[in-house]
Amino acid sequence: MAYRGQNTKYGNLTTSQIATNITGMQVGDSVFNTDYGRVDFYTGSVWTNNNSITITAGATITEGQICRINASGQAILLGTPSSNAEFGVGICGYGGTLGQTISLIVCGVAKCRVGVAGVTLGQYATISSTAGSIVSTTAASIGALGRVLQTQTSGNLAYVMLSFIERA
Amino acid sequence: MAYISLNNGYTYGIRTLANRPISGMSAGETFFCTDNNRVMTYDGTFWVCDDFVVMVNRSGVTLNQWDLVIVQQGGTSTEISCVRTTTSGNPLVVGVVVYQALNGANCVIAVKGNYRVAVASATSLGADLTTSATSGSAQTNAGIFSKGVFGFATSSTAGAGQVDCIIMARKELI
Repeated sequence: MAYRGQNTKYGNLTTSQIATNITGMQVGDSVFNTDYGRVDFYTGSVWTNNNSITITAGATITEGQICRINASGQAILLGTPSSNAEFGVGICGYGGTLGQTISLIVCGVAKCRVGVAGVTLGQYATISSTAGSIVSTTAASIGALGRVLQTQTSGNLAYVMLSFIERA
Repeated sequence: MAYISLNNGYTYGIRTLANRPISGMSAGETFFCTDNNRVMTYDGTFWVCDDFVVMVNRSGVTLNQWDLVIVQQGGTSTEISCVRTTTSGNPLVVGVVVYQALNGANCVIAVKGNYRVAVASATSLGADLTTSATSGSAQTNAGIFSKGVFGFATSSTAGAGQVDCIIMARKELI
């Protein structure tokens, strides 16, 4: 029996380090993501994990942005609260440009891009007036995507426990 | 026995779901599936991953791969089971059948991730999907986005058939 001293091929790295520092990876390669405490896998085109789906980007999308699916079956940024707010699908884990494959976190915990107003621990995370970003509110509404786990200021990433709201 | 140090660290290397090993496996063995981008682990009966749940097929018929199923209400206290539905927009939708399952047998169901689903009619890219009046098949959601929607189409078809889809983890109801 052969033993391995390390459970993943690339060891322990942050999302940013995984996205920028690793080269030469092959399908099925793995790395422990220290931002989330989980194992990420390389599909041959993008890093993903058990809480994510993969999809073609319909625009440039970066880590932490909220996405929806467009009429081409591609991921684009979720817009304003008054426009299809309930169509939020997931949060970009590993981004890309138009036509590239990206991964979207669809359950569990995700780091989300904070909009202009900042977010507060314990409040509901919902989409902001800045496409792809979140604000926090004290009450849930259509378009809410989870609970904020970290008070954070504008422009940064905040941990959110995902629980997309369904319209009854 | 295959060693874990071989095949990119997986017992059976890189495979598609259709080419999964079907004999000689031991519980705990693995392969990396390029269809759903998951590490598949053999549990002694099925190849499973974090996207799957197992329910008993109580539909009265064999469930085929990519049939859409709902949770059965009124089951016994010791079993959770699934059936097909002919109710459009059924909020009890669970997911899609991963492996064909005989009536009364355990059925593996994907409840999130990148999979396929049977559809009753023409389906466009990006369509939000829900149950249909055709047993075991999905359809494009009509009207407002509402409960019963389980995912989105990421391929299209001009008529009844199958499409690629994203299955969403279930949502909190408001």
